[in-house]
Amino acid sequence: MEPTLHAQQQPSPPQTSPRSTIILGKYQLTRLLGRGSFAKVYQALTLSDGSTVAVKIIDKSKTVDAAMEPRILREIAAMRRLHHHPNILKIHEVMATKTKIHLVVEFAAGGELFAKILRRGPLPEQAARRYFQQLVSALRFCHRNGVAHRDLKPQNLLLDAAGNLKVSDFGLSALPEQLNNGLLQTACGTPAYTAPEILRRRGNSAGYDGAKADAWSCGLVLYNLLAGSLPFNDSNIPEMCRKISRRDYRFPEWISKPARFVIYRLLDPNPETRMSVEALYQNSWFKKYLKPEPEGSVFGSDPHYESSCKGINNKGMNAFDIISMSSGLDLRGLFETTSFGDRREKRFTSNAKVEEVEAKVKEIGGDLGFRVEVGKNGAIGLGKGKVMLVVEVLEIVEGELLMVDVRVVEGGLEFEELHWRDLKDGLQDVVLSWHNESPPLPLPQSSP
Amino acid sequence: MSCFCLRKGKPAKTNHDQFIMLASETSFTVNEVEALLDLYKKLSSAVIDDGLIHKEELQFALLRNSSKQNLFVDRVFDMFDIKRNGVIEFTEFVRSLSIFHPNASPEKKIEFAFRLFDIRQSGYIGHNELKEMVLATLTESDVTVPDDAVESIVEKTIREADSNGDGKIDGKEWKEYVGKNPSLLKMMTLPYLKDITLAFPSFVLRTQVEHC
Repeated sequence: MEPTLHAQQQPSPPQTSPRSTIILGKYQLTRLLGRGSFAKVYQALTLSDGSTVAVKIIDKSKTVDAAMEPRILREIAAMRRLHHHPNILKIHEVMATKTKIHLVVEFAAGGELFAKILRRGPLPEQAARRYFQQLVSALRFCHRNGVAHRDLKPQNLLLDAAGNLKVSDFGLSALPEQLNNGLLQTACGTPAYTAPEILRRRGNSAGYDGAKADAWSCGLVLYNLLAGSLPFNDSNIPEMCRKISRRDYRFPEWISKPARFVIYRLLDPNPETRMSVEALYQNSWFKKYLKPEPEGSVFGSDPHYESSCKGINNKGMNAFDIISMSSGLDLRGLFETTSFGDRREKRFTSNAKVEEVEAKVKEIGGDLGFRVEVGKNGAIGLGKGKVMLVVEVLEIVEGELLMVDVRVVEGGLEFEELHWRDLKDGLQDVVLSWHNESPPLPLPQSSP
Repeated sequence: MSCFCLRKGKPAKTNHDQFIMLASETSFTVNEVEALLDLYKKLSSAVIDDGLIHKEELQFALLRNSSKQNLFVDRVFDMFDIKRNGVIEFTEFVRSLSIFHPNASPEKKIEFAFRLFDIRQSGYIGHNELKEMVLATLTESDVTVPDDAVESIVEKTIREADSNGDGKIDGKEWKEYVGKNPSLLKMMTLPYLKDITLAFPSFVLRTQVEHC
């Protein structure tokens, strides 16, 4: 269909051959990486900056199940939320036409982890543990963000160019269509890595613990890394289920005792007593050579940091710097839905010195168990678990009046519930007044 | 000017041709325009559910409060309400937001900001206007600053920016001043807009884009 409007304003069409594989004018497909029952994955070139990405193209006509579409949306939302973990494949963009959905994701140059196992056989314990640690770290991050993968399988464990594990297809793999055909046996005859409680469920949508199901899959992955094969491998599904429930599998003699113990505890057919992903962090075999958790930098994880920091070197604010602080001009508000008070921002004024306030913020942050970071322009980042705050001290009248901006970057609800009162009480000494205190606190006002 | 304008009082029509036109005129793709429609629908039904953004709704989105007067919300509203008919229509919303796109030209951002701050639409920003805006910001944040301190901040700013010495800031001077103080343009860029398809992905189910 030819749009016939404003011809002179139309961008000139990209110079391509008629059989071009450029999609939506932005990405050039260069290579087919793989195909599933309803999607194909391509390597592609980003035309604007030359970077390599992967594009997963979902054929809408094959996603006949109406329940699947909202799930695709939910999973996009989940992948977006899980953006910050180094071992989770990042999603860059979603595009769609009438017939197809395109998910543009990070390109994992190292391919599938299990292709490596197929080629080279079992991994030495140290190498296997490193991948396993990265997988467990990614899963723990997901679970803490309320997402379970539920269907980890070989195709979903990728490696980047540096050999780091990337878990892909968060949740997308757990779509109902796959539960019907692709789940129990993949095309090449490998039983999927699915927990017995899901296998048994057979369309019965009774709830199960997704995190525990992921722990099961972890056990299978670890076994596969160390043994080079799968513990349960039977094309007869009921028979395989019986073997699973009897724990009927053998360890190759080269697998060490502590590693066997971990696998045994993860491959517990009963999800109630199965070792959890969290509990692995108490296991000494698992913890060996464990790199400290990548604590996301407060500043790195704030997509709006660049625009959030007013870029003023504290001193000598000009009139427009002050004006820029108006909430009425902060259009980020259009995109934010939050229950954090009335805004994601809390402000207070102070007549202490800049250095005093900054020192106090760092001190109280530290006392409350936050990681304290100092960003560009002297902004202070406070991070604890999911909660991330950026505190900026702005001098309105030199030597006389400061305004301090406390912005919640992540975890607003948790912050409000757990830390806000403590932080507020701790800062009391340097606060002249808090701005826009609402909702009013239900405590009796003590009159001075 | 625009031939696919939405009529006041009518719910927003999802006209594919209109989306193509918007995409060709802005930094957005058709998919992004479709995603923005979800945001628009959400904002435009917050107070009065008629599919148009009223001032109260903009106020609610920015201040989480639909009744408090705010000079800058009024200014932003007037800037977005290109046709000046008291509501922000979808086409106006998309065209205005496109200026806030990280890829939009700095010239457009500079020009938009100047018109935003030119609260009397006189073609310049004078001492009184600047002071009014500073006081509005301070009042909004419950900050009390002695008048002479405000005066001196305003005077100093005018002095820095007013290169021809007529006591006020015109468009050309504003451009130079922003050149020296690039942080003033930060509020003119919304990184969110790069992420809009991920933030509002439901367009994938009803997109009218034909093929790649």
